[in-house]
Amino acid sequence: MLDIKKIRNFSIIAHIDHGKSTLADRLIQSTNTVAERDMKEQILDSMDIERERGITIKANTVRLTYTDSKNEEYILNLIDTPGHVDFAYEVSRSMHAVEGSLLVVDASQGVEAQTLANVYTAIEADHEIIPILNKIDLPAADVARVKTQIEDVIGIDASEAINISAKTGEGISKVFEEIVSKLPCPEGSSKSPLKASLVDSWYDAYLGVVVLVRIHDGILQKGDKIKLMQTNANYSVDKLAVLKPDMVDINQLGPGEIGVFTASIKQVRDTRVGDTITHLHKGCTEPLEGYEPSQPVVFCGLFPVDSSEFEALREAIDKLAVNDSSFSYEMESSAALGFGFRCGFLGLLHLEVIRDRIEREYNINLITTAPSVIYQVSKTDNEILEIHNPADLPEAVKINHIKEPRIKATILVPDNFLGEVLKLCQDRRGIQLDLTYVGSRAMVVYDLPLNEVVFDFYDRLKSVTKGYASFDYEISKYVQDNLVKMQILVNDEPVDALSIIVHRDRAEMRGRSMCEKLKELIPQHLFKIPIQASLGGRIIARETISALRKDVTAKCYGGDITRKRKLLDKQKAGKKRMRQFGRVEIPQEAFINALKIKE
Amino acid sequence: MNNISIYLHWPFCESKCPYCDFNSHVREKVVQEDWLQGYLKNIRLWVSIFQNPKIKTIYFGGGTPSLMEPNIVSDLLEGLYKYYSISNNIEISLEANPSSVEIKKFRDYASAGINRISIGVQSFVDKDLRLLGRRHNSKEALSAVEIGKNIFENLSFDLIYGRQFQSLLDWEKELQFAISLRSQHLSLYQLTVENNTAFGKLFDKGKLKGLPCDELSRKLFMTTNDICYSHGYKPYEISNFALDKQECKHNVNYWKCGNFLGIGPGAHGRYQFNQKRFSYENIKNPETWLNKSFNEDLAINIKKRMSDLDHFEEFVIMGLRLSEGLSLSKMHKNFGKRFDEKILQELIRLGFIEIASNQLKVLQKGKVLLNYITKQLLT
Repeated sequence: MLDIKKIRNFSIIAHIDHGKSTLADRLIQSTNTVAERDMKEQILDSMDIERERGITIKANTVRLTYTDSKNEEYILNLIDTPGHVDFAYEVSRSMHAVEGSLLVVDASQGVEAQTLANVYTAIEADHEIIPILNKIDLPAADVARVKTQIEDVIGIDASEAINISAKTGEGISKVFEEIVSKLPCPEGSSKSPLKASLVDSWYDAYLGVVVLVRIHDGILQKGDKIKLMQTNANYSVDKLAVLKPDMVDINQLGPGEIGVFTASIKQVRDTRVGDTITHLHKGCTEPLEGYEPSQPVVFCGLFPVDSSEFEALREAIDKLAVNDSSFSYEMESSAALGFGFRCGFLGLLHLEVIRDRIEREYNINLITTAPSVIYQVSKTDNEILEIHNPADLPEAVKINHIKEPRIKATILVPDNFLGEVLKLCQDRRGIQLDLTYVGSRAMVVYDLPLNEVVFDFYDRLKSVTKGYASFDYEISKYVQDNLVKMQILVNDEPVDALSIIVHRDRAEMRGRSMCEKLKELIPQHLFKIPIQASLGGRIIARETISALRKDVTAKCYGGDITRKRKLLDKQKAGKKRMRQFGRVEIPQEAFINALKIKE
Repeated sequence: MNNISIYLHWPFCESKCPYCDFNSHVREKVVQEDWLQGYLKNIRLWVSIFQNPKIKTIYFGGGTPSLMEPNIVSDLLEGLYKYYSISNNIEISLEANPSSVEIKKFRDYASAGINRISIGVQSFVDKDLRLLGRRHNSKEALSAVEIGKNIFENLSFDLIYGRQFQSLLDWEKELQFAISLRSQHLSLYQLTVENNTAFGKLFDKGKLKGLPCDELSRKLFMTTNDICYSHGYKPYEISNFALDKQECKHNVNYWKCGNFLGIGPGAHGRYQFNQKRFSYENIKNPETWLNKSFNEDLAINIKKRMSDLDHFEEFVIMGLRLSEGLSLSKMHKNFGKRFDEKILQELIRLGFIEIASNQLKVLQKGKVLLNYITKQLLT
């Protein structure tokens, strides 16, 4: 049995690119947890997309064995958490499994919105926090300034912050020392009945569902009969292991320990994150306090470009959903797009990640329809509907009013870009709640409608601030507003996949912008194509794609033919991604690109 | 393979025209003797690959091949004759600029063996010649055509239309004048703004003014065809017009997917060998090409066996450009392919094409949308 006093559990909090994954790499390396030849960068980011985009999507865990200067051996469990706002729920549940956090701040950049959000989550989880300034090897590093900023903005003591460079390894030994000396050891009794929290679960092709647990009381052993208290389902533990970060079998897990087990559980959906696990017999009676399950907030339709690929798409979505319980889906049929799925996501990045994975891993070309949030629609007969598909909206006469979700958004930005940020928020129907300064950086808090944020707010924010702003949000409340359904007609036929729910004051601008975009995106045909935006039959914007009148290459001799062929190949590839609507062919990118707002 | 055409690329010009994206370069000094040796070396190397090649046509293109000294042209042709057998009615063309210096060489070119000259007139309007970045004026152009007509059995000249600020009426007048010169052949190209040219860059910046809109462009194309036709110039290809039996045999060979060897920087070639079709491209940079010609073997960059699909698509893309059309039975026999019947019917209904005795012809209404039609048939 491990001495509970020799265990430390912690997570790392950081903004994107502040060096969280690199620090994790260094910790793993210096404890020789992974053999030198197996080491690679960002070892904890296992998905291709994570590596490619340089982001962490899934929380990952690793158990390190650290020997201090007095030759005392400690077990350190590190949970590496995602940094993006869409995956905030992953952060929050990981934090509940550990006692402390390393707060990593880039010494050349300073505190960002993401850092703030995650630190508050850590503080709420009663964490001991060790501030660390990373990238001190960079010429632009300004340790003193960033320390003051941590104290001013976050309000925690940064006087003893550790200066490190995760890249060069400088300061890493100090990090270990402080983990052991400053972070509390877990509490719990091995004599009490088993009480463990279900931190996470995922599907492994060979092992089935793998469950990540944190033991609070009692002992979990291989072969134990266990019970999940919320679902009341019984299982028998087949395999018990710790992550290093590959699985290493172990016979038992005691209080304070973190590990994984398998128990012939079929689907990830059968395991509820935050559930309490105990023994089937002589189990504990009081479950641990669970946490809120994550809820999808952004919805869109995913349709195969080639309608014969519907079954392949179903299979792909089923498989992805097995491993990602935060993603919801149901079948949808659209007059224009045929059969597909209406899917719910945690945010736009989550949507993009899932879409990329379907296109890449399953090789299916997709049409993505306009992302939507959930609206609460009160009908005149007092019925209340939750709607996230514009096609489901009742007729206007049957609607009493519509409420939309609003968010509290926190944005940190250098003050020379503040004007741009305020304008952007104002344009998106935002209400300013707070504006404070920390040195030369401004922190603005806005109340914004989520539907103005889901399309391209983050992209716009990055572009108007040259990437210097950071952004985080939480959903705050539903508020009634003047919301209407806008339809787009291509060649006089409504294309349901392009309908959106929009604020009346913004409808004309959005309608105009969508018509203009579609004019660029839809190729010329032999006939004239009107593109119109309409509100309940009234046309509010119109563009016309002129007919193709001349399309012939003047010169084509021996040397030109290769080029001509390349052009044809491009057109062929383009044609594969086209969808026929009446007499008009619309390229698939049009569906999502039409929504991006020109400002 | 025995029948082939030979294309010789002379990659140098005195200045670069703003619309031109051909492989042409401006150099202070070109040692023509070195280049002659480079060409001859390649000619010799190619001949070893084929059995008894017989040359049907030779074409000196560029660049500006009329910058070549007539004795170099003569030696080059001598070199070719040494290795290849020559068809009786061989066509040997040379592209020429209508500058006074070059006109003086016409007679010597003819003595060297050139029997068809293609003059880059481009316009008979001085203002427009300047806009096109040309160094000659309309007077020189006219005298080049008149002198050339007396020297060569076949003379062609190029005009560019759809120019900046050119009205339909302007062009009709200019074309009528061009036709009145009764050359055997005319190449009439609608101005195309290509990427990587001076015009392309201006266009991207929105600074290339006065270009015709699609509608005018269409009218210009239609009118060009009508006027030429009514004066005995048969529109035998999209941009090429000829009096009876005066078509450019060398170019027709391209459109019929015949064999051709390209020699010189950036030149392309296609040939059949052991029932397989190959394509290749010469090294583009002149100096690199020449060095490689001396040091190693063929100065080519890429050579590959073409897939059946590639070959088929070239056959269609090229064949549809010719007024005589495409033989559907030959297409089926050679490639085992047929076009989608529904698409054919739709194109016929629109009046773009006609099919008679298994020959698919693109009609004038279709020619102006040829890229669209080709795309419909091939995708």
